[in-house]
Amino acid sequence: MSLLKPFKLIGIAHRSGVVTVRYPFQPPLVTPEFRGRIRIDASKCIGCGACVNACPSNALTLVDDGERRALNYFIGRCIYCGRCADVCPVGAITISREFELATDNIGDLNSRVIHYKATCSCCGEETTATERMISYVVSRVPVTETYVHMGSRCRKRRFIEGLMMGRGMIYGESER
Amino acid sequence: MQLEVNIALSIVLFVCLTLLAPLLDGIERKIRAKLHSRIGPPSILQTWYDILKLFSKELVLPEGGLLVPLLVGLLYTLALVTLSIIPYGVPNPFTLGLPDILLVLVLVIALQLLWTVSSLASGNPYATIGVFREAGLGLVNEFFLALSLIALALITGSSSFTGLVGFRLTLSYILLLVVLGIACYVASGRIPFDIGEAEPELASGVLVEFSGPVLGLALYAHYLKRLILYAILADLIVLPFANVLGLASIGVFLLVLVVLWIVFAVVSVVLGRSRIDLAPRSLLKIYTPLTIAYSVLGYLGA
Amino acid sequence: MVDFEPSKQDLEEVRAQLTEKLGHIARSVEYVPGAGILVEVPVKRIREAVKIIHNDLDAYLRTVAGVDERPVKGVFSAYYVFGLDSKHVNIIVVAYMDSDKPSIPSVVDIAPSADWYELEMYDLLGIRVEGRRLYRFILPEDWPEGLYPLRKDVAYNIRPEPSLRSREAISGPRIPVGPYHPALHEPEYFELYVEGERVVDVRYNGFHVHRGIEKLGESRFTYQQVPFLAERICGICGFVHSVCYTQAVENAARIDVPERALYIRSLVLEVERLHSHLLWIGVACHLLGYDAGFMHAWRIREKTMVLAELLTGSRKTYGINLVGGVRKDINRDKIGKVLDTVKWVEDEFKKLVEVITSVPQVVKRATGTGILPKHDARAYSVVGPVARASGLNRDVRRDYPYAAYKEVSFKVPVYSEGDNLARLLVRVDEVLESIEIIRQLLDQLPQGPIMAEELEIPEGRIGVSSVEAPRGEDIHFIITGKGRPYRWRVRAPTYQNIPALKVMLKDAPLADAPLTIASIDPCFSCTDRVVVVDARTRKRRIISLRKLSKINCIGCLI
Repeated sequence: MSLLKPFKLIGIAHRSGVVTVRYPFQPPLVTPEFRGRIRIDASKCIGCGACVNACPSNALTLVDDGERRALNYFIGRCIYCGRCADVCPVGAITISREFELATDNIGDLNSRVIHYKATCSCCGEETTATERMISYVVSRVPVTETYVHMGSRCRKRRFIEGLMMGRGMIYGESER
Repeated sequence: MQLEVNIALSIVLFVCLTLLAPLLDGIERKIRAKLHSRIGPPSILQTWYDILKLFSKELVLPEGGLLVPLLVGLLYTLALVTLSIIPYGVPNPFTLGLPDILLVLVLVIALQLLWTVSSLASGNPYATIGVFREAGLGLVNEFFLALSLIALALITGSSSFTGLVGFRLTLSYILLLVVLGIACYVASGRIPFDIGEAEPELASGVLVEFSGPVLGLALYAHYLKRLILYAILADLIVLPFANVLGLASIGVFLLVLVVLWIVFAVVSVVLGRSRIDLAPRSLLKIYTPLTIAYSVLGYLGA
Repeated sequence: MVDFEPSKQDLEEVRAQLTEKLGHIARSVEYVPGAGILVEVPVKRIREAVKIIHNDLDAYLRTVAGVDERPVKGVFSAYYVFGLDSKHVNIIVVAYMDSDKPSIPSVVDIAPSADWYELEMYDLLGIRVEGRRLYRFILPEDWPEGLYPLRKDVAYNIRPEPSLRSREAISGPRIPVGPYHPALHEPEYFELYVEGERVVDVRYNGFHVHRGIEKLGESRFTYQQVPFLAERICGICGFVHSVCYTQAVENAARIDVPERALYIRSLVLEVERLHSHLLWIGVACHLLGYDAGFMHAWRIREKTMVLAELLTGSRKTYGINLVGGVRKDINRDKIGKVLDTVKWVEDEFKKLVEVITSVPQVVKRATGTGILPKHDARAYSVVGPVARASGLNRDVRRDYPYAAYKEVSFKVPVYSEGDNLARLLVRVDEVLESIEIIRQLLDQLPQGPIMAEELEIPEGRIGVSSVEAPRGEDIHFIITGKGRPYRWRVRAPTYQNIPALKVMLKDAPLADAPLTIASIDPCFSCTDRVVVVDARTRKRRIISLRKLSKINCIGCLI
């Protein structure tokens, strides 16, 4: 009888039925937990770059160009780990279930959010922060100081000046 | 001899069988998919689509140059010739009274040879290995195939299939049928005996250098060869009753042919591939006692 | 809860033994928690130390890590990690070398498994290993001489100009068997030397797809990014690598990982083992021409893939591991789904195995072929199912418990035949054991957080961690650095198993070669992980037609 045992396969096949699907012609079968490409909500993004620091594969990059800063998402490098969504302070990044991302146009693989940099309230030059970053900081921590609206150079200068004008003893200004 | 077979009917049958071969493979693929729990190809016409698609491709000549397509063309022609002279459940008028059992035997062996030679002509090393494997297996299998067909002529006392009509079944005849059944199964290049084209080992071995129309034609010839081998078996089963069945035996023949193809397909799904040194040995183990048995029984007249 | 620690008594015993036997050689013997007992010996006496540990103490060589420690200590160093299964402790022998002309005596005659490690040290770090033949092993042929990529003064993104070298045209018929071959699903190249029908010698030529992962981890990534890189070492058992890496860092930094995270890691590791073993069983069937077995094994496997996706968010490269814990929790709903799935897998798998093991071709071609005797298995320090099929009772999950494995009980299947069938049966048994482990884990799953709160990683600590991958033990060795590992040494299981193929294939019929090579479940991407390679070399197996006709089935050569 052992010779006929391999034929038990017929029973197995019969019981399990057909398990393959007509995939491209039917919706993909992914679980609700599936991590696909990310979506960046441009209205929430503040351009802080936390996601860029966390991204293991450099799919997210920050590109600075004078007064503007772009957060660029390139699907070609994305490993769909979702770390960016973990670290985003404003919840601008969501993980979608999309994974059918092949395209014949490389432009489709890139998406970006453009931010405008805040100008220094003191000297009027661009700072390293975006306008949205500053309003985020202000909304979270209502600071009365004007430092937050300044570029780092002016901020340092004002700090020193503040010290010099403040109370306490000054040892003296060194000569230039 | 009481059966009068119309030449026109024979031609129609010949054309039908020629068209049927890829269709049977299509059915086989659906069945195999079912046994794998897969959907499989969209329809049983898939093999036909494949062949037609291959024919629409450009012709790329392998290293062997024009020799390869010529040999494959010859292979296909030979398959058609063989198919035209076998009986279709009723004696075939095309045989012109020749000793057709022997004729068919020679043609089948020629088919096998041409199949291997045409792939050898490409000079591809994988194909070469495949040919060596096929040859090693063929040495055993074709020997017994030939032996059994000759024994068939001896047992029935006629070197023509016509002599089978009305033949009273004996035990030796049935044993002979079993041997022929196995031999046809092996010759049709099915698992576990498809070692010549083992995909995971040899990159499809004998088929590796064929592409486009040449591959299409080679595959078509391969299906025809399968059809011929199983048709011979079906004939041996149906012909003894042909005088009772009359023209209905054509229908029975076709039915047996399809059933045989499907049964063989299922068997090949549930088995694994053998090894070049194991396969001939296990075949010898099966063939030798069976051959001795039918020879002795046939000699005794049982 | 800190990772497993060997008992005080065992530790003291081993330490006493080491001090007694190595006292005259060793400069220091100290226990480093999270790594093992660290023995420093002068470089000239490394052979004596290895001989005593490998032969007298019956420890086996787990990995060797060469390190360029010039920026911190001004020396090159070599760490030899030995495992002492009976005491559940690692013995790490370290030797420091001169920074100008580093060299170290070879120990390959004492521990044959050191062969590749020594070649790698020479190739990637420029450490001369004395007393053996050295040759280019990992780097491509046209890599510039004297440029050692793992040295700290070599940038990670350096790209030497590829130089195309023309080769002499070979006359006569050629049979390419690798690096690309339909039967080999990964680039590899085996040279089998044959006499008639028998294999007389085997040479492996691999490392065609180095990705420079170690170097990347040491130079561009941060601690929390490396797990994702580690996961990509292997497409089949990636989670093993990310767990192994995170554990090594956690061990080095003594990070308390919450218990629930440990359970989740174990759970996902076992799900991964299920899918990997089912995959292998399918592929083995396919190699034997038994496609029905292949399809049905993968039909069952598919459920485990969906399960993994449900648990982690991805079918493969799960990406839920971080130093200090995991990112994704499981809830009651998911637990129910896991239990349902494993029940279904168990039933279907048992039925299928009954059928597969009844197919005459499968049984005939697996029985008595590719035999690896026990003493050879020991000498080559083989790991995983290969070791267990040759009678070595070795399983990291039991011997060096990690994650939540000390909380569950399971059998370690051991067969003594050492043939391909034994390796098949070990994997079959392990599938069923894994299902049991999953049930126990879910039954005992504790509540709590899944991520450690304190994550401070001091510099200069050593961490060693091992994980029982489906293919055998995976071991990561780490020296912590600033913001990223200073040295990250990965040793995947296949690295240890391939050299043993020499024994399995020797004097065996040629036709058995494909199955035997597959029987170690080789994972070449695991093995090839060290260097950036652009140019690819093409090699060909040459065989004359005359010889071919004699051999008659070279096709089995792969």
